[in-house]
Amino acid sequence: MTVYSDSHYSVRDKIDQTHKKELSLLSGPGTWWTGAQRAAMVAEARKARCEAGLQESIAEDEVLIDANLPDAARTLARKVALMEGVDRAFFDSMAPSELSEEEYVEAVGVVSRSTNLDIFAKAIGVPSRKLNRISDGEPTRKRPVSLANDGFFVPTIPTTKAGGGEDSKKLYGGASVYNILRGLSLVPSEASPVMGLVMSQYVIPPQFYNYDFTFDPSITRAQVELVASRVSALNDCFY
Amino acid sequence: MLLRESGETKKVDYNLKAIVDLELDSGVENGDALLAFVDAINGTDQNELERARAVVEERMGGNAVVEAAVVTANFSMLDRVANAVGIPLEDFVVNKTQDFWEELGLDNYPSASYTPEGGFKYM
Repeated sequence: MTVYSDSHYSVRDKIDQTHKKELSLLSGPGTWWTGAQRAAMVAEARKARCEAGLQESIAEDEVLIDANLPDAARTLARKVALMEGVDRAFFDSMAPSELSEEEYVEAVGVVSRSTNLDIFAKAIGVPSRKLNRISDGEPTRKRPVSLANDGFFVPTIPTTKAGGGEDSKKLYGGASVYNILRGLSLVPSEASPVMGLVMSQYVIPPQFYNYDFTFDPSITRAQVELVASRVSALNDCFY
Repeated sequence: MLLRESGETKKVDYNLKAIVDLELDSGVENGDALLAFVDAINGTDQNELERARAVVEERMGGNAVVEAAVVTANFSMLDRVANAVGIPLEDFVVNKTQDFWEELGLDNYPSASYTPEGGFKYM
């Protein structure tokens, strides 16, 4: 059974596989939040987008919204889902007073990843996908050892060349990576699926500067970059 | 940066300003349909979304709808991460893009302040 079998469009296997995995990861325990809390963040984000008219509600939202989740995490989920005032001042209002830096990073990852799924579903004309049943289990609460304060709001794992050590080798495979892939590395269990999504939805690293590469011949790289640029403009994203 | 570079390899000069001014022609084939699709995905008008999707499908095919949709979703995710954790732009990207920041108004974004003068030293 594919994730998007109800779609009028044929969705590539790689997208289907990574999204299927996401539906399970998002409702499972993370490094700092439980599966129930992560699923509740997704529900809160979805609720905010539904209220804003950006997507339609699906039946699971009301069930998941009742999980034990701090108010700050609910606020974060809504703001990040809507891209509303998400800036340095927002971060400062959240961490470390309301949420730890690690909790903040994981929550950003969860909401950003679920919004990715929801926007794709909306774009191809199907309802948002339901998350898998919430998995029990405790967060591992394991913080990486090789962290650096390099100008991001939060510490990140540097590349191996810049002293990232074993954490870097494990997460980046020893390669140099762009900052966008370092952003969530304080919580590797969030950074890793983001990398997987990028590699199934946008480009694979060896082909980054191959401007003839796209995953499907129906679209050119220039068209892909035009779409990417417009999205970032709409989100006021300088990066 | 990558839109301009993808044009340079094909010896085409794309109009980057079309990214922020939809009245302009980007020079990218079917760019108008793709930009309208992106905006409709980010909007609240279901009819507009269906119209924009149908135009992309008619001109480029169903697979292009999926590809444009998945790239839109991908960058919606990455933009949220970048703005929320304050990701600075790498020095080599600053060097390649600084010339068009002002024209496109990019340096007015609050997130522009996350990048230090000259950019993040990339290693």
